[in-house]
Amino acid sequence: MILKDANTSRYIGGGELLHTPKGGTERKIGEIQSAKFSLNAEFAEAYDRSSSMKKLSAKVTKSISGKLEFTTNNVNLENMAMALGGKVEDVAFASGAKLPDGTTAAAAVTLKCIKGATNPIIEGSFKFVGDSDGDEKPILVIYKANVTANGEFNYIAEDFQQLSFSGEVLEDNGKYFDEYRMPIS
Amino acid sequence: MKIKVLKKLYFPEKKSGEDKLKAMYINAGMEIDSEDFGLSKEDIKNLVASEAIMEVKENQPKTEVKK
Repeated sequence: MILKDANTSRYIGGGELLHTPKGGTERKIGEIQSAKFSLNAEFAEAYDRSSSMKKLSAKVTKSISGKLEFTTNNVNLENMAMALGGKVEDVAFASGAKLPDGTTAAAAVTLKCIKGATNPIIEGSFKFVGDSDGDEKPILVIYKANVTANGEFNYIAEDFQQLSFSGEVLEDNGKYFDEYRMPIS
Repeated sequence: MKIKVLKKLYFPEKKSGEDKLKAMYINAGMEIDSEDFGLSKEDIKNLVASEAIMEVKENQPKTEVKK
């Protein structure tokens, strides 16, 4: 949320992250623990070296890039598929078939399965929507990003496990990213 | 039909029909009534073929040991 007074706007709080996979429909990542956006710029500099002390005479921007990082506690199928670089598929087992846990299917059953490492780069757009508790909320729209999972997932866990992702923001038909501000109340 | 479970069975959740069941496991060694678990004839046939169950014959004559 953004708290505003006559002179200052201060930011604190949370929000939710939404992802629209390439060619797919928008969905909430859910239970976001962190969502960071950083902007990096590289410059080319020219110096006047006509004297012993060089002087900066020109500076132009060479490149600009955005980076998105987020973590979530929500290990639902879609998020786990992103973390495993895979896709969710239905796998059917007939009655009498041996199931993945070593038991036998008493009746026909279809299980959800993440086919790992089939989709390591997560393409699509992302949107961060700030919470509505303050005077204003920010909405960061990233039109296109390529994100991959990083970090690790401990299957033997004493604490809730987090899924971590990071990736680059890409230009999409001349659009890069926008932040909107919506007044509340 | 009474059946004896020879391999641990997984019964998937059954949401529709009269026999609504939650997903569950039945351990090997148990004797169950197939109707209580909504097993079809096809399921029983497949489970017998995969040696996961065997039919328990009712009133099966006991073998007497002659002295």
